[in-house]
Amino acid sequence: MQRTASYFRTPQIGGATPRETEILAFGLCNDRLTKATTPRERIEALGKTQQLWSLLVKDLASDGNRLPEELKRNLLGLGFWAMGYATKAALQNLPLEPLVNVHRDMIDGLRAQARAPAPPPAETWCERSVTA
Amino acid sequence: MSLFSVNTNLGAMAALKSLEQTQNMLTNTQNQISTGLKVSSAADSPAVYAITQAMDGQIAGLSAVSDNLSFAAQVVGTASASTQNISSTLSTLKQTLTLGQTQGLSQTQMNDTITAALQQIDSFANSATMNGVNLVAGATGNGVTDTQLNVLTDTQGDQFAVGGSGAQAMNATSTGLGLSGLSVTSNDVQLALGTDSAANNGTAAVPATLGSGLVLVADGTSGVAAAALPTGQVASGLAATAAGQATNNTAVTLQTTNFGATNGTQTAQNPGQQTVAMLTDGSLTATQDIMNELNNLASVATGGTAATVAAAAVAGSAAGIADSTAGTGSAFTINSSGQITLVAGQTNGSITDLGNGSTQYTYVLQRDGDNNPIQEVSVIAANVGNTSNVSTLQSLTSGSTGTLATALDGSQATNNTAAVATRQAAIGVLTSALNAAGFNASVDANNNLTVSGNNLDTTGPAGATTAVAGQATVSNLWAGGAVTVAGAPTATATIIGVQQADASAAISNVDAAITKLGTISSAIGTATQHITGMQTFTSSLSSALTAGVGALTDADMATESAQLQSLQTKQQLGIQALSIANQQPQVLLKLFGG
Repeated sequence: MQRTASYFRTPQIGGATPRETEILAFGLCNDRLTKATTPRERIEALGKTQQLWSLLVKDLASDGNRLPEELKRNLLGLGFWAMGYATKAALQNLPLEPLVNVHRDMIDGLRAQARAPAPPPAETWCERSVTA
Repeated sequence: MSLFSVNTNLGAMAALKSLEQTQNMLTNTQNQISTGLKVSSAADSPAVYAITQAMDGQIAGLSAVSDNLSFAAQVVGTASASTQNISSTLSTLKQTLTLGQTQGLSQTQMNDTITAALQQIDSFANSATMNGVNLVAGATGNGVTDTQLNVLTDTQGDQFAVGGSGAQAMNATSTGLGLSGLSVTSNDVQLALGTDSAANNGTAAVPATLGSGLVLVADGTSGVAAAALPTGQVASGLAATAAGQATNNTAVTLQTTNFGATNGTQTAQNPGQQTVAMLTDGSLTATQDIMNELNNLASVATGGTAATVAAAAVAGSAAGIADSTAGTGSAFTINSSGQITLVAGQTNGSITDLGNGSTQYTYVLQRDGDNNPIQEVSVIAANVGNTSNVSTLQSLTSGSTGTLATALDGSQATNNTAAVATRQAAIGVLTSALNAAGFNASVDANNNLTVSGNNLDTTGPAGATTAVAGQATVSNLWAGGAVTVAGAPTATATIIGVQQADASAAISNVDAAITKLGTISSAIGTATQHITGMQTFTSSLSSALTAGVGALTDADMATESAQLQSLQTKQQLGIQALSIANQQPQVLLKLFGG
């Protein structure tokens, strides 16, 4: 995708990296899920959950996503599960912990990236991306 | 603006159609999937792997379907939460009114409670707006752009509509629930339906030919019918009643009684009762019928005097029940017109008024030494129709003449019972229909139909009575409200606006609202099932789509499986350098106002 080249060079909104952005998004989502007290807050939080995963799934399913196949499919599976669970939970009295747990796992996984060795230089990825 | 189109399911529909082809492919591999076969690589199951590869392009489509369902779930879930709140408010209100009635709360106190409750209900209903859709607000405006939601129910594009607009709206506001203007002095409306019995042939006081049924008009000014009843049902029920009416309807029962043979004791033994089956057979005349049956019964009773009865019966056109002891002619005579005469001076014959329009003609076949009857045979004529016939029969005395006349038509007698039952059923339908339409309607022991609720205007003079012969409507009974009897009624209906001394009408009103809310809740429940069903369907599709490397092809991934997969994904993610949505992650924050 055309966007890829500038992706790693351009600072994100608020100066955050993509990883930090996603950590923040999952965190904000969990914040809503755990703090919802009224039915409306709960339903809105579940709506946000579904929309968050819908955006993630659409990105994962598009050609430009460069995650390894196995991880991509696991994430897609999780995403569809989360979307379905969020929809059902808006109609039934299902516990929200399973969603919160999955989001927490995603945050932990993304945070682990931060502690892992630095990714290869962006140029390498760009070359790959271009040649791909 | 919401992220998704409210009622435009076109995108989702297109995606579903495409997914349907996928579903067909899936059918071939259904066995593998249902057995939970693990598809780890192309080598494990090339066919499944190929299919899942081909499905990649459809993930975005499936995601769009999920968006659509999620949108619907949010709207329906919010409406559901709102109706639950309204439901508890109504329950509390009813409780307060009931308690207030017994504990003597002042009218002011109770009216304040009502006002507060109605405001609360409106607040709950109006706050059920989600992304511009409010299923229970009843009308658009105030941030509500739609009061109806269409939910896709299958891949064919069939949609299930929840809510609606105008008369179809699931209006759970105080007005929608018929509570506007509610106070402890609210009135009921009563419509005297008259008492049904076999004697009055089920006609009672209500017009026998209600035609298109009874329509209660809530708003006399605008003339808008608040309750559109299932007129077909009501009309057919009442029409059947009319058809069942007969001018002379008499059921005849023949009976023989054996008493104890001991002197001084009259204990009924083995009273045999037999309804004349012939009454339904038009080929026999009534007189023949009665005489034949008497003959049979007498034969059984006396074991030998049947011939006497029979001889009397065939003696001439004036057949009769013979006095077997004296052998001097008939105690009764019945002519071919059905006319019964008690012959003067025949002490063995008697006429008894049984009440309810029934008369018993008894002839004693045998007496003991004390002149007490040992065996007797009797005709019981129960008039169930024409009232003048009843009085004629009841006025019969010794030596006088009464007329059964055309009464001995069994088919009419049968119709009588059927007519009463049919009319009762029609009233039942009417009551149910009124309840379903949001009124609180009930019929008491005196057959008075009491109606309240649904904003029915009950102000006006009590005891209004209007003859409605030949009129298409009974209207303007009082200013504002009216009870309309459509069709061509032929009798008089008494309609009474009843102001209750206590809060009972207000309580009935709340009951009506509770019933109406129940209908709304039920519709929401149905929508919930539709959405859940569609969600399960898309879950099975998505599981298949994402069932590639390392995933179990579970039809609908259980929460436990999801948690396990989440842990596994966390590990994999931790050793990655890329974020999940590694193309434009910044859009994620926009969801949360970032």
